[in-house]
Amino acid sequence: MYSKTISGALLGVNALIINVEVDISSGLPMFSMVGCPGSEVKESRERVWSALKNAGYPVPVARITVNLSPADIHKEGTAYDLPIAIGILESSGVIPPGCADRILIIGELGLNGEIKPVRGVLPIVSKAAKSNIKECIVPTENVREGAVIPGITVRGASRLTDVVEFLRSPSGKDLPVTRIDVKEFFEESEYSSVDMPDFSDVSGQESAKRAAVISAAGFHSMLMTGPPGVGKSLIAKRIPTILPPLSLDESLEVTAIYSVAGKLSEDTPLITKRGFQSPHHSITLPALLGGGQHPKPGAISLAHRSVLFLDEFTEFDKRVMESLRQPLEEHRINISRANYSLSYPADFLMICAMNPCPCGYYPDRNKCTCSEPVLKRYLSKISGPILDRIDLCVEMSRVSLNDMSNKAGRISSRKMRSQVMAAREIQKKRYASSAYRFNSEISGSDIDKYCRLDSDEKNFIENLYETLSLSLRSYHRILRVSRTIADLDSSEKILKKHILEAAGFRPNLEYWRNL
Amino acid sequence: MDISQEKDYIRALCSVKGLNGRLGKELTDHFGSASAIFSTDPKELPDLLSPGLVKKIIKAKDSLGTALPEDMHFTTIYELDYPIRLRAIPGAPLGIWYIGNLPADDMPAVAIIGARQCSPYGETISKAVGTYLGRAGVQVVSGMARGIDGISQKAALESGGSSYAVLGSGADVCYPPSNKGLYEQLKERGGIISEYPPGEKALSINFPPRNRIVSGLSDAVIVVEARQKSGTLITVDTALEQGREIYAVPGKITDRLSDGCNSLIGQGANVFLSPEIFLCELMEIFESKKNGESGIFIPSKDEKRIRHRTFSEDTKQKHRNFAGNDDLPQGLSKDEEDILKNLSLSPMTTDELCIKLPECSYPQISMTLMQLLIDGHVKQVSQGAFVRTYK
Repeated sequence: MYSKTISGALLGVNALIINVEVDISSGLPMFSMVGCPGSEVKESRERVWSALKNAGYPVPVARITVNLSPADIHKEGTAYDLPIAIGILESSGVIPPGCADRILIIGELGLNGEIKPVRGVLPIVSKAAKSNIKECIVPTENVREGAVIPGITVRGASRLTDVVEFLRSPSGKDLPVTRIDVKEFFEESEYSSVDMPDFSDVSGQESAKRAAVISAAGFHSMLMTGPPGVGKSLIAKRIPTILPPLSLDESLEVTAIYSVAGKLSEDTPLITKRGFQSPHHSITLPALLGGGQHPKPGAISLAHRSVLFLDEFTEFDKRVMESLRQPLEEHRINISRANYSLSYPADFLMICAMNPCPCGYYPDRNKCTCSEPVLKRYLSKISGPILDRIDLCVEMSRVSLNDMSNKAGRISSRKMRSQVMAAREIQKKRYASSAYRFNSEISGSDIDKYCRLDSDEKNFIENLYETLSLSLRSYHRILRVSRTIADLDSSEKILKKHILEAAGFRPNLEYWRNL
Repeated sequence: MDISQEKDYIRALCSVKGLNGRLGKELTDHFGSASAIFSTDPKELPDLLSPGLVKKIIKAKDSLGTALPEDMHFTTIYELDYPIRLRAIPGAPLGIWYIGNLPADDMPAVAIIGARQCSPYGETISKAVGTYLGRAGVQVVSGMARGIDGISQKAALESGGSSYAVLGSGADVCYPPSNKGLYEQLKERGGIISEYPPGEKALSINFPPRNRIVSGLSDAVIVVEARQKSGTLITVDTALEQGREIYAVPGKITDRLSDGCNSLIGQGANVFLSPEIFLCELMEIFESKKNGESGIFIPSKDEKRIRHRTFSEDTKQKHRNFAGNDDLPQGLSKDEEDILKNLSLSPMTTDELCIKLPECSYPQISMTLMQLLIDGHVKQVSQGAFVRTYK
């Protein structure tokens, strides 16, 4: 007898509805699975077999064929266990026919018949809602994650028997429906929690704090240099707190990535805060970009719409570092492998930190004894193209104990965030009719359009171009950064002072390249 | 001894490592000439020569008669063009290879030496001294190393003076390669000198012996910056053996790069106060040598080539504020003045300036610094640290 249930497959952070077809016919007892199943999907056979037996349902002694359609897409993961089991029970007559063909079912089975969590519930449920499916059954652990999607009834189940009972008599035993009001999550997440770091903890470090505001306002990538222990990570960790709060759409995007990566916990079904990813410098290419045999989003996608902090930047593998170039431009990463090709969003704010030389104390020659070639070799680990993509460079220095205790003049994250948001608002208006969102994205050809200068300022920056022997790229970079500084100053025109301040953040190529 | 016939033999002998010094000279004196060494049966060479050295001598015979590379010259201690100052030092090289010229005997010559990893202070001083001496017609001798050596030589050449580099490699090998530009300029406007045969690599064991030539070619030695344990101090030791005047540039006692200089001063070295005062004193040394006080004969021709000024005590006092031309440039804004007053030759970051000037905001300071940078009043030494420039 033939039966059909509905499940979902992941394609990057998007999902696809999969029909799970089961047919039981007479013949030698066997259990075969077709439709391009991956290795975990093939193993599903054993889990389903045992789960059915241990849950007290007779496994039909017949020829069982399972097809996952569309059959030409590679299937992965363990979410097909539950729909296959339900399909077999329906085909063998335990469940009345047709009662499961409008319900999306996902879940992994244990050998004893319990239902275990899977990854990617959010995008699959979201896809189901869009495909006009009204109801779905997901593992209890994942139910809150699915419940954030409006317009679909999400039921959680923890045992195979509960699902079977529910499907047999929908009026009888009910599976609990979970509903979540997304707005509530946003209200409670309004940066109110006490354990969040705050910029008011940072004393001194004016240059890094200022750069952080500019970086957050115009989405400019930033590089901090300074001796060890000076507070580079301290600053970086606080940058998410000055970014504007996530909007609902952004939050769903980010949550989908976390869901696919299997990083959502049961009590945070929705990511509502800007995240902070700080991978260790030993990170491999697939871990950073995503991919692998069972494709998962990498650190840059987990940092989507938030901060990717690369500490000890020079220690990263050269290939890993260079691989950031494309996602920095395109805000997403395309991963193509022999058996799949997918794309994850990766719109992150890159914040890097490094020591100024191998020993960490250059240019203080009292402490630093690094010779010129050693320094050169160290700095050359950061290639030109990567340095070109960094808009803000700051050097930090040690704060004396005396200044550390000086609480005056400290600025809170809340205040900095309001500056950032005001500048963002200006950018939103400016780019309403263009593809841009932030000043950092302005391309060289549009720079004259958005960073228009009066003749005085024009002469000034041309003079700057000569005296500081800038490259064309750094000239554009100074203009983009000065646009953001002017926005922070609520000035429509870019003034000389904005250009001067922006020039202070340029990478000093005398140090980086020639010495 | 007919030098024109002997020269080839001496050159072959000098190519043997270990023989281009006291031992080679003694050997030549013992046999009467270099050619005699080569014509002697190897078994009869004195016992004091190690078997390895004997082998090298036999091998060196093959190189007899090879042509010198183009542009390169070779001179021996027996010839008139050999620098007079160098001839007098203990262990003077038997022969030297050079490209360009040798320092002129009738002009004062000064060695400027110091740390390779120098601070902005050392850089500024060596540049200023090199420029001043170059302009005054004093020949600057050094080792063309990174840091103090190269900077002072470059400055001397740029100011129109002449400079001579003594290398620890063959004269045709540019080491360090990063000083290629300077190397080419030195060929034109001074000379590259080496006691090692062409093609010799820059081996670390070659450097200490090379230092004796640096000081040997000079009338005085200026140490700009040196750590307590520094190769520069080896040069100072040999310079003292050679009876050269040592001038140490004093530094702050908190600066590790000045420890060497400060302790030299403690040990009785001359204090380098300003290029002007130094030049006065150098001329005294030079004149006294010329008058034969130190037993070195210096031919006197065209003495006027040196623009030599005498200073009254009064002027000397004035010049004591070398580089401490502390007067601020004219026409600065108040912010600019405040910042310049706080800057020195020790690198300072914008953050540190923010702490020193609490009444100024960060953007204000950063902006002003950039303006000062554009106007050439400050220099950016790393990503965000600045030093003042003195004009």
